[in-house]
Amino acid sequence: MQIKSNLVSGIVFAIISIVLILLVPSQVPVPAYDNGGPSPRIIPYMVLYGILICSFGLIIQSLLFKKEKKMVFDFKLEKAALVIMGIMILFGYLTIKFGFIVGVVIALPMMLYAMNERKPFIYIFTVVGGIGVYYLFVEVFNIFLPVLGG
Amino acid sequence: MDILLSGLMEVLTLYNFVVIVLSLILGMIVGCIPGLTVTLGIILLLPLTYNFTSPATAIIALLAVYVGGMYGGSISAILLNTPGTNAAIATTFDGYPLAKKGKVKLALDVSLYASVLGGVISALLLLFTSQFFAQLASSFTSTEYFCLAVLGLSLIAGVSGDSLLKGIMGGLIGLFITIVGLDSVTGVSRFSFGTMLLYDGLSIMPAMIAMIALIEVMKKAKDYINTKGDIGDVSHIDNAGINNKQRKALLPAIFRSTAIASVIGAMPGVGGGVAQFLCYNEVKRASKHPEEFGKGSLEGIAAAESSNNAIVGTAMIPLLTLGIPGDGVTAILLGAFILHGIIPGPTMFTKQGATAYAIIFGTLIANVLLYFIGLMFTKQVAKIVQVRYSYLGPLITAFCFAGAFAANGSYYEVILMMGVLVFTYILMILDISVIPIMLGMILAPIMEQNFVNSMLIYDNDLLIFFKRPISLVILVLTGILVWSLMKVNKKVDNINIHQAEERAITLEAEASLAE
Repeated sequence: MQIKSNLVSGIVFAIISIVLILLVPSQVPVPAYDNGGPSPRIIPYMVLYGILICSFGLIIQSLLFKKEKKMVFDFKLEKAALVIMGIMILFGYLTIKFGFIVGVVIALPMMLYAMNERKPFIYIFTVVGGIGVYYLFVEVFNIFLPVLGG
Repeated sequence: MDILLSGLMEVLTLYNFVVIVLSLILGMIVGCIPGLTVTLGIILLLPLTYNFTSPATAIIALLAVYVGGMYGGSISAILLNTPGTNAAIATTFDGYPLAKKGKVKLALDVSLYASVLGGVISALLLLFTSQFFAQLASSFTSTEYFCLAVLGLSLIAGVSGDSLLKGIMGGLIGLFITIVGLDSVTGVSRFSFGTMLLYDGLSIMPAMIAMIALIEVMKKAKDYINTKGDIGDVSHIDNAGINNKQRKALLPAIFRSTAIASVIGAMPGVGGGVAQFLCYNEVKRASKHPEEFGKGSLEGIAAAESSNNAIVGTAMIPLLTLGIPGDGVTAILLGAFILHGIIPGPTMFTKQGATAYAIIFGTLIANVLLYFIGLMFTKQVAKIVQVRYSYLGPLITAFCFAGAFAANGSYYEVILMMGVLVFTYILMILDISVIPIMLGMILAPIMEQNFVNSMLIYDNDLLIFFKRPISLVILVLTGILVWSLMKVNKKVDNINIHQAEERAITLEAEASLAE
């Protein structure tokens, strides 16, 4: 599948910026007292209108000036990326829900399987390495990482 | 002078030397493995630097990764014809042909020699010019700082590839991501949609991990799966290295390339990726043997390698003295400065002078040590390019998630990081670079704070940025810079097309000779 990147990104971000501009009054309250400074809405408005102008620019480039960069989205090739991304998200979920080591033990072998690795050694190496990362952060650098059971 | 000496004393400790050596080796490793970049190396090391004894040591460690990575990029460029970093693309033009002739050690030695000379000269430039620039900028107020941040954002023109509009939009998206959460001035919550998840917003560290590190692992794993793990052949490394006659003969090429790259490095937005092509082209133009370029010319390797290491030192000049990043990597370093409580800019040389000089001396020492580390470890590091990516990818993923917790231990940030990962993938499909987004995120707090301060001081006069002479000059400079960056990008595109044509003709001639 070919994607007209200028046109699609122009349309996507034009919609997003219009929606967000409409949401500014409800999502950015004005403080109850006036400190003499600019309104907290001024910067969000400036940024969102900037995105909107760039989006229209991209749409005009694509439709009027025919300046376009076509990106190829081949699902057969991208499937691998989507699987790896899914496993990464699973890693995050498992880490938050059940702890970092559970994430290492379940998600990393899944990643290896997706990468067509079948030999046991690499699985053992990766899990031991992942647990090593946990102890490096917790014991050596005193950085908290989630554990099973809180 | 006292500050300069105390900076030097701060860096001259055994602890710092060990940190620099280890960081250089890490940089060489991440630089030489195609798919792992210097930026990834810096991001992986960043969470670990929270535990370092001083912020200066942390920044020096990250800079040593940068220095080592720039050299490391040449190792895979020479051995695999695959640049380990973007800044080593030009090294493949002559490095790989020379390696194919069986002179791998010579190619690696020239690369190391040129990298070290280029790096040391630019570090000396950083040492001797930064105080001058800082003094020049010492009278700046919030109005000028806001304009400086706008100048920093203008580097988008240099990093936005072939679409400036997408680059500007990326920068604005970065600014918007930072807007989400608590407003530090008024205390109101912005775009939190009533959830605690968005109440504090997203900090730089998890965003950097998702946008750069995790997405790189994903891309590399995708290639690994689709190519069934084929990473190409690795050449055998011989023992015949560079001799003194060759060293002497290469000096003009190295000095020429370093001079050009140093000027380019000090300009916000250009970076090593662009400098290498301009330097390579210029050295080729001035060479007595331009016909050897593309076929294993030592001058060609020296031009490419001295340029990408020369960028490291001079790209720090605008970062340390003005608080604006010189290229994509220094944009990440600016994030690291902020995370470590260092405020780069003119006041850094007065308020945190010792730290500023410690960082500068650290850069210089890292470049000198690179020579010895390179001589000792290049062969060992070169073997790492043979390691299957399946050994690295999962462990880097584990490192990234642990690093995300290191920022402030918040579960929310990890959830947001996963959201940013999906968002970045969509941007990748739409051909929108993440570097302008990162730049927007990093510069947003500086812009917003100084904008609000200017409005408070000058009674909400939006034209004040054009009324004050220095800020007006900065804005005019910004316009000139954007225009010149676009011209440079166009010139580099032309050089690329020209060189690709030349290489195609050479390959065709070689193929017909072989027949």
